[in-house]
Amino acid sequence: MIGSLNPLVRSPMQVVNDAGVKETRYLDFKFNRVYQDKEISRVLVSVSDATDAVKLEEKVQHEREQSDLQLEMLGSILKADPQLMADFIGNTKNRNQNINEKLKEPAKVQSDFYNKLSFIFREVHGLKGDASSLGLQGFVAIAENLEHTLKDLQGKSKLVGEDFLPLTVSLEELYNLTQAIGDLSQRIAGGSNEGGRPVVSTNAEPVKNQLSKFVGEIAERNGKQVDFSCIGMDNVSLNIDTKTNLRELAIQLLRNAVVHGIETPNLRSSHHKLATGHLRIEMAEKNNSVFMSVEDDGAGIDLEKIRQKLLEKGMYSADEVADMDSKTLIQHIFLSGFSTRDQSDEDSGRGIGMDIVHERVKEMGGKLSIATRTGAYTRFTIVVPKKY
Amino acid sequence: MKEDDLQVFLTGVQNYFTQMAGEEVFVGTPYLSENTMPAAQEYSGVIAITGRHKGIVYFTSPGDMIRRLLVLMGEPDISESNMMDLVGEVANTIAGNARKKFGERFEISVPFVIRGAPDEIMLPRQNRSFVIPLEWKMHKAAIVVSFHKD
Amino acid sequence: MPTIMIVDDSNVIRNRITRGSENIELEVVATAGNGKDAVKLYDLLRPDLVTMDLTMPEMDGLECIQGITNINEDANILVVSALSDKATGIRALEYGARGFIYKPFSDEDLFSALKELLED
Repeated sequence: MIGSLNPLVRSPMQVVNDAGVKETRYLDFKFNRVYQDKEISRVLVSVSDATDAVKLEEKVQHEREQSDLQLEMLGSILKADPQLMADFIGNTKNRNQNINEKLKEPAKVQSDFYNKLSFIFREVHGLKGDASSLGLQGFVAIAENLEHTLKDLQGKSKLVGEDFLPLTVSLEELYNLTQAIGDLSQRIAGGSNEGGRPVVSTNAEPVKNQLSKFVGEIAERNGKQVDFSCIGMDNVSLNIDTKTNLRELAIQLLRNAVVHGIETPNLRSSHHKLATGHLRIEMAEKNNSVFMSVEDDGAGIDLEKIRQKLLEKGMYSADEVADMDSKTLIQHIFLSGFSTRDQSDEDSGRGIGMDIVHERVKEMGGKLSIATRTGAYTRFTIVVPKKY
Repeated sequence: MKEDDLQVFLTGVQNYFTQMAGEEVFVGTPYLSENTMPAAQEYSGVIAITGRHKGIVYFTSPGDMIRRLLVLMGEPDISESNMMDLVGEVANTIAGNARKKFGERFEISVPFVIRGAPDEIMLPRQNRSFVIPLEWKMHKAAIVVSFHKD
Repeated sequence: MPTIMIVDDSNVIRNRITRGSENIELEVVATAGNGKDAVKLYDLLRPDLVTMDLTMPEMDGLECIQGITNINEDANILVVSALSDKATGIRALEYGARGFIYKPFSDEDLFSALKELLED
């Protein structure tokens, strides 16, 4: 009974060690009664140092947590199409390198520092989208952490090199995680490989499957019902660069459509629409060009909200804003930092989705057009030269 | 490596320059370097770290910067021998100061000064190091940190 | 003039402390680059003051302090070191050092520390 009453098991104690430094040791106190003539004459206390056992357990626990993270990623890797995973890993390695090169660039004046932040933000945001679409939570977590830090820094009135230290530390985490996932992927590929044959995917439409899953997850997270059709995304043969770029753009546009475009089932019903919204992405080629369109039957682009945001940001006066026609208003959603959504989360916010899309299409030598009717639909069409 | 671990070295080098050069050193945005191509200037003062942490820390600098520092310290003899001596001393000072945070289990070696970058024995090829870029009077130098907790 | 011995493996630091000592009218009777030489020289010359670096090859500063205090327990040793952890500071004093200044140090830091040691 005395044993079970004893609370002093593995008690952390501050002890001054031989070197004169205070440290925490975990001590076990054991109590034993000493009887003399059937009476308790003394209690013997023995003290033993259990620190090593405690430290070992902490280490094992930590390693267990690391394993869990690895297992989670393993799950995602197994579910994903090997080609998509390989693309992701290749892309992410490039992104990591881009971010590092940007950090390495000399910076003297304040604008140099802010430009670095913007550049890194775009890479990180792209990474977050890619990782999210493959269910790689480990990467999403690091990316979100980075976005948070970047936003804080962007808000500072003056920047110094030292401010970027947390970014470099997170970047190292990314490098390590990318390495880990690359190794895991290879081992899996090696495992299901007999006699060195290349692994053939049994999935005939990997992009369609990935995007369907992605849309499904976002719809659920945002309480929307979406009927998704995907046409031609796996058929058109493209070089890796174009394929990657268009896929990233598709992800941005699809996310916007579910989050901003399609209304909640209740709202839709109250507007005499079917509770389930429709979302369609289509890709086709014609005359050396690739066409990709994303169309939803949602709320259309809310011109009033754009007007409001422009007023809020102090960019125009009330009169100027009232005079703007729909075409001019729509052009403004391509501005960096513009978002009509108030908070940011994994799915959106921070107002950079559309400006990335616009810039990227321009970089590809292509065109982006929008057709919309308030309350009815929105359609984005991208045309890029095929040889890009 | 964690942020406050690296911060110790950043603060250390700032302190060194403020004390010895009487002015602030400009710190650039830290970045990673692959150990297959380590960051290096003309001379590198390398400190080996053992004990609870294992790896190296080095201060790498062009000859011109070191010469200037020597002159500032009042040293009349700006031979290469003294230049390499000072490079080692800078590395030693920054590493020693880091023990304020890391404690005595952060064991540092005497400095080892070489031309160019540390070789494979000191920097395992498959790893990455943190580079803290510095600039003083138009000269570019760096503190490079490459160790891990054991 | 009080005498001083300077112990540090860096020639640049030895020179600097030499210049500093001469400025406050101390006679530099010896310099050493490692603990072993320092103990021998101390025995030979018995300087009034010693500055001692801790990180040195062959015999480090703490061992050297022990060696010197074995010869003369009243030896006046000022540690000049970059090692900034508390434990080291305490240990140096336990071994017999009378003072401690941290690198990087200014000339003023050095002067006041040396003067203080002389006064005791």
